[in-house]
Amino acid sequence: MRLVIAEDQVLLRDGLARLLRSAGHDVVAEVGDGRSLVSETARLRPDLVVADIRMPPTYADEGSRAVVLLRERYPELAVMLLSQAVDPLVVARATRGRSAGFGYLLKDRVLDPDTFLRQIEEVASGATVIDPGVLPDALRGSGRLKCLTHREIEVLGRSRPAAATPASRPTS
Amino acid sequence: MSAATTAATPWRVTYAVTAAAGVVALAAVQHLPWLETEFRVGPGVRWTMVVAGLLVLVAAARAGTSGGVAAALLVLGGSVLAYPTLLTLAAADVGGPVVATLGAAGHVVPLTMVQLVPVLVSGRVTGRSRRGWATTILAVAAVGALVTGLGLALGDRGLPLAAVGTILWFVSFAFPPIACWTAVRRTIGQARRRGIVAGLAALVPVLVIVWCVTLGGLGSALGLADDPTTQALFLGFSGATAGCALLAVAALGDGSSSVLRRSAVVLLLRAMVVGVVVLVASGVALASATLLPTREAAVLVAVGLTVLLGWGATRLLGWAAMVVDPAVELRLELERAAELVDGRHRQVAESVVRRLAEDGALELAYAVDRHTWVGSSGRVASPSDPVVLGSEEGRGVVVLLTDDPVARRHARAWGDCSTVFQPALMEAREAWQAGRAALAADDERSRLQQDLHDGLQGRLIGLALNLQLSQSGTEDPVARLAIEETVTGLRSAVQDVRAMADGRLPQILVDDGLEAAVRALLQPVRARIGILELAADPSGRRPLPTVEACAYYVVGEAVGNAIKHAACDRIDVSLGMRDGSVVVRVRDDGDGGADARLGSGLRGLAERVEAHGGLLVVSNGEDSGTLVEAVLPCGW
Repeated sequence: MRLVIAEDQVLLRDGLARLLRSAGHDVVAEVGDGRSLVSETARLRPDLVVADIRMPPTYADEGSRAVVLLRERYPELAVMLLSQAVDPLVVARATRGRSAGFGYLLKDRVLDPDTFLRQIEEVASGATVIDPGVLPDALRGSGRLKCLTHREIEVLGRSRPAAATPASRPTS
Repeated sequence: MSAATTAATPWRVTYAVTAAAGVVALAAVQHLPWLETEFRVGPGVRWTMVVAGLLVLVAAARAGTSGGVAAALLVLGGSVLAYPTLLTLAAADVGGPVVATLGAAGHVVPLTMVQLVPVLVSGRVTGRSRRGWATTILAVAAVGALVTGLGLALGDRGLPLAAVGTILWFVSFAFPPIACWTAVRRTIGQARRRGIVAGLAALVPVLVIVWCVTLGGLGSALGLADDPTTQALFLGFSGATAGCALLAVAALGDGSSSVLRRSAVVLLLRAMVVGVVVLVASGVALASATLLPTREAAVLVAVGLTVLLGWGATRLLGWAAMVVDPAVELRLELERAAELVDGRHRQVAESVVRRLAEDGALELAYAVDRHTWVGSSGRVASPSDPVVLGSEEGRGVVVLLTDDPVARRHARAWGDCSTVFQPALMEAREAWQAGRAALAADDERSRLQQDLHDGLQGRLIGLALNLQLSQSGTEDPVARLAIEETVTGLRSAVQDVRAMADGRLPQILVDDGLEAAVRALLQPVRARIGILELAADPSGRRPLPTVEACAYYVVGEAVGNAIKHAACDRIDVSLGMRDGSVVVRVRDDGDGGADARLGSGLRGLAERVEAHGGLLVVSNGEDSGTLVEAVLPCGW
């Protein structure tokens, strides 16, 4: 599988590249901000993009915005978003109701290499992987899930939380 | 409005009938000879009295009054109209002693009503009950009339009694001004102006009658006319009754009435002051004309005294403005309100200004620095077309914002009220500075959070990942174990960093403690919860905040896991204190099989509990399902 990695932390980016290469994937580009993610993806047309959400210059949501743009332009592109903290809003914004081939995980999930690599492959094959951290947040009644559409909530509910279940199935 | 009009209609008919009857009656008796020799009221004066009576009735009808005021005005107008007819009949010796008595006492009823009407109006416009005063006035008038009548009936022997009755009755003329002006105190805005006009209505009869008597006396003393005292007295009577009724009705008029405008009320008050000055001067002139040898000397003394009084009256004119003056009113109102709610000057200032300017939507804005304006609620406002209420070094710092022209006129009349608004301005500036400080702290916090998130956490994960990857390159089992342990340590460091960076505990947990927070946490899934036992420590001591937070997350995570994975119908939650530890038990009746090794959620939880020196055990339930138990030392 051909991949592009977008992560501004060089150490983590190197680690991710090594991990993915060791699993036999072809990391075609490693970038550190949203703009180069878009341009490299457009140039190299990978199968999957692994992207950090917060990247330079503003450290806000460059990663997810770039991903939204790319998914609009290349509907077949699979995406795995990595985040420091879980935020259901990100899921809502980034999927825009189209959750096939979409993953959203906490960064430290990469420290479970086997699970992480399996989830990457699942997303590439069209499954949806959502970090379980998103759901306990909803249980705590933060109210943020209200921002999601019915369809999105349905998706969240159906996608079996990644770390606790061996396999996720495509939802649409 | 329509109800009031309907209610007033019968009164209008009565007024019209009374007016017609009064005019017809005087016209009918006009030809009778005037046989009374001591005083003579000419046709001109008699018709003037009729006009006065008509004015009273017309004013009452136009005002559409009702109730006690309408009745009092009817009696006033009717008795003023009837008075010249009675006088004419009595002077012609028609009707015998009854008519003679009525003619002699014809002034009693109108002059009593002239006292009563302003008091009733004052009570109505200020909303303060003047019933006691009205009753007193009526009672004193009745007693005075009775005593006077009794004295007169006794003939010469009764003269002292008659004098006492008359004096008693005249003393009662002091009541209406007192009743009306005490009602004005502590009123504001239009109610205050209405009250002042009613107070003027109470003063007018006294001043006009005394003035006319003095003038008449002066005329007599100077030999200006044939019996000027009587003429002046009856003209004064007409002016007093009509003036009193017109002012009283004006006080009741609708809000747009020009008489109720601030400037008009100030003008009326000043006219009253000038009237008093002229009255005193006339009195002095009368006295000097009687006492001094030459007419020239008397005039000189009168003019000199008038000038002197006029100079002193300028102070009184100032008072007249102050009584109605809005800025003074504003200051008094603000001071009074500020005593009640110290620390809320801006809200108080705005509500007072809204009330006084009669615009509930206007806003005040304060300049907190060179370029920034804030409203009472702290919001940044951009003043467009403001009315300046307070200024500093020639620059407006307190402004009023409204489109309502009436409110703007009010505000402009206040002039510069910098001192009045000083506390509110200071408060606005302090709040602004505090807000900026809090904002700066927020910025700092989010920068720190970002450093933790994007810097430290990412680096730790990167380190752990690289270390983990290098593990595969080594065969040495000891090294592999060391690497694995290091990776585990780094992972828990990452979680700690995230907890720190996210770092906000639910407010209810901080404020109300673990039990309340867990109850609130489980509220959305209450239907799935079977037994819920939440027990605080009997001593009321709370665990350390970090311990509370950990226990809270254990409950949240365990219940969340049960709902998501266990296909359970019912979850029992118990939370208690035992031997200085918090004990959390979450049991579900699902398909079981949850193990700390399987779910990273539970594993993270276990690590967290261990970090607090506690223990988390996940086990299969007795029959089915999963039991999550955590024991957390309270940290005391």
